[in-house]
Amino acid sequence: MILEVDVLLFVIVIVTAVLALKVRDLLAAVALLAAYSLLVALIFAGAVAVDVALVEAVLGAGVTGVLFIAAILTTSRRADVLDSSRRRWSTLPVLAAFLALMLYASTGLPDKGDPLAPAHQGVGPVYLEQSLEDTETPNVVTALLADYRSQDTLGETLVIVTAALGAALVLRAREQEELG
Amino acid sequence: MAEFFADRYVYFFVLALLSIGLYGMFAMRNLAKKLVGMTIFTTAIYLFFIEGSVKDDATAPIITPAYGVDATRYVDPLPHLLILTAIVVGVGIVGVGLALLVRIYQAHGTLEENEVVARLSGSPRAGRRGHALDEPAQASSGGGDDGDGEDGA
Repeated sequence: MILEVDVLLFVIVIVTAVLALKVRDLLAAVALLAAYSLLVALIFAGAVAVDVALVEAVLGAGVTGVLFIAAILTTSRRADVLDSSRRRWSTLPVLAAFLALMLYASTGLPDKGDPLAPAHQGVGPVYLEQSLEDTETPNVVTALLADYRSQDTLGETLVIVTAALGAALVLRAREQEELG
Repeated sequence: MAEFFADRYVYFFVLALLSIGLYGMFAMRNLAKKLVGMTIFTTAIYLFFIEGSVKDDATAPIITPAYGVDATRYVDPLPHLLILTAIVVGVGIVGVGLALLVRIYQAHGTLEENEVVARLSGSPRAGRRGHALDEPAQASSGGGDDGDGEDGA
């Protein structure tokens, strides 16, 4: 992707993220969060991760936004106090330690787009070379999702079922209290 | 310097997003805002993985006759799959988090963390109780149907 466009997108994404945390109206925060997810999907598309961009646009911006709006309309729309100064100052050391650790770790990471990066020497090339022969599916991500790593996908489905059950049970608990 | 920036800028931006998300989770008082911070944090991790899958002069991992099966011409498909799974699981996490949020509001009438903690510890200085006590009564009369509706959807 063109470097300037990518940098511009990242800057807009960071501004949107800061605004989503800053606004007091929670519905506005959710709208900004959806915009943030769509911009992140654009960055994914720029990094030629087309499947991921589509899923992020649908689930990250769409479904997450709808869930947030449903929850906020059921509860309260405004955030009274964003953060106290005492808490802001006590968060600072944690953030500083996190940043230092991450900067230290990032020195060992490969440059962007390096074809010789260790991550590209493992099983990735094998999938790319074999998938057409093994599965007759030109889209390698689909072949991975449904063939090579279908057990991952089964696990993912189990997680979603568990999450739906958990949400249903949490929301049901109140009715039981009322009846009993 | 410019070359260094072109090679590494993704890490700095991802780091900035991770810090913003972490700050949101730690410093925000409102529980919904904490969830917004968590969403920003997870998305930053997605960005890190996807930018790690990029190779120079490579195209999307869909095998075309023009490029054959030369692995250097396609970006790494494995991070794409992992992040696809992570996005779906992330929506599940947000869903459960929001269900807990609705439940906390029904029980305490507020989404402000310090007020919830004060009410749970039975402290007499439980924040602005004046309006906080009116709202749970409203919420329990009207809130039941809404909870069910979200369930079915």
